[in-house]
Amino acid sequence: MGLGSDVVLTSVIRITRNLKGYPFPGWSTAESRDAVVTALLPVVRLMRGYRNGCELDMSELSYEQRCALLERKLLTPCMAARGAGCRVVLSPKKQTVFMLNEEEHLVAHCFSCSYQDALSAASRLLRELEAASKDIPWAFDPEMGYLSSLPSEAGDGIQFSQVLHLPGLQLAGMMEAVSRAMDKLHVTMGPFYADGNEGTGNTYIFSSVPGPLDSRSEIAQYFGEVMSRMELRELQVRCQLQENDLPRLCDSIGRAYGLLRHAHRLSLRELRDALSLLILATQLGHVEWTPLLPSEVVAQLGELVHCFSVEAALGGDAQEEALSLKRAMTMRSWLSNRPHHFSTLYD
Amino acid sequence: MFLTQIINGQVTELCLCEDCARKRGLFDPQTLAFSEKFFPEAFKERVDKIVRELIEKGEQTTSSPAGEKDVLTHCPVCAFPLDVYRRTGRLGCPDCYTVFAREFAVAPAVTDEGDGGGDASRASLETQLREAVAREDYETAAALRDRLRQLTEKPQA
Ligand SMILES: [Zn+2]
Ligand SMILES: [Zn+2]
Repeated sequence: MGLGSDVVLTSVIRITRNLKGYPFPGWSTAESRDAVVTALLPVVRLMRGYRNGCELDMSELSYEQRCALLERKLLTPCMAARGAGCRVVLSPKKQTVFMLNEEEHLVAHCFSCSYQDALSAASRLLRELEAASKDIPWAFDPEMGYLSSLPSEAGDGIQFSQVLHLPGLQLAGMMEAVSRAMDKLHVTMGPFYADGNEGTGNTYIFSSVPGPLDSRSEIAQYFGEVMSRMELRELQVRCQLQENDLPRLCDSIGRAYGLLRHAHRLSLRELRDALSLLILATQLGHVEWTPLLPSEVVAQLGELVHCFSVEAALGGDAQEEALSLKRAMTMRSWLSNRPHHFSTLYD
Repeated sequence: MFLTQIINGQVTELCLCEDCARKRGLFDPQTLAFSEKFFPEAFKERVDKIVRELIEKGEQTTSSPAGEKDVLTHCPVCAFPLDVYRRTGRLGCPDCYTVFAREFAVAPAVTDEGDGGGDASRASLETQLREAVAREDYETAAALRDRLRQLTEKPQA
């Protein structure tokens, strides 16, 4: 956020490779995981951006350390649960991460608020990876491309994703249409924050479907275009709601605010949905937070959503009651510590 | 969190306390139950239920279609069971691609005309159906279900 847009929360590019002759990590023994690490760690160390990288052995990480990495989004949940024979290597600037024996033998993530920045990080990383792994026998088929533990993902070994905040489309009841459109456009989408089977917080992750070999740059461009159209659509719908459906917009925002300001118990779902609308209200100028800038408030609220989500994921059902009290208390004091007022629309 | 799972990259509410993780076999990928990992329990149950309803008729679904005998049920290289692939869409090792080639060679075109026929396509249709339901892509799921019905109604001549 900050310099990013009001809609795109983050862009992630995932690069995957597997070694020929070894079971995929989900089906491998401790010995074969070690052999994979022995073969691949030197490759990562050869890469320029990783010479001073930070190497972590998952089996040596405490529960708290795993949580900390997960909170900083430097690990996938899948990786956070792994043990012996699984490694993580962080680039010094923490802009990219290598995971050995995640779902595939080698997984790299490049992330940034800006899709363009993530793309250039990924192409730099790919160039270095190719140079460093000339002698590595990758599991590769001339027709299918790089083989993956999921056959539907075999291909050029790269996947583009973006996380978008779409409260406008959600309020306008258009998410089903979006999902149908994405299906036709060969872009997969799902809720970024899931609560049981349903998404919460109006936040979605969109991913390109891996394509045939050498389609990399076309897919990168195509996906970028589809995503900018999505972003534009969301912004248009927000304008339409302001112009044509203001009472309903204000009602949704007002109710969300009431919940955050006065509730004493908040489920994670209620909290995420309400914070999503408070972010929207801030971006649309319905609430002012002087002396704080709207972008600062939005960043803080986004961080709250993320922290509460990690906390709930780690806490489990047993702690739900205590957590719901804590969430509500945190929000009440957060709001009373930040002077704010609603625009005259609400009078 | 990120991608695929980032399969479809969503943050599943994965409890990571050591007890739960151990119970789920998460600290030892060797004993990892694929379906559990990729379809957190509630989700998997729901998917299974929907698929069961969608298939309705073909009761003894994946068990043993005719012609199955000459097909390997495990990868000789990594011992991965074909069965698990059919349930989860995941493979055990790069060689599984060759061993089970028949499984996904038939896969792509869902909406094409002809009856690609046979048991292999039945299994792959079921896998696709499961995936479609998991994606909540009910349009594709319905088309797949209809094709499965056709296969069931006029069993091979
Ligand atoms: Zn637990
Ligand atoms: Zn195998």
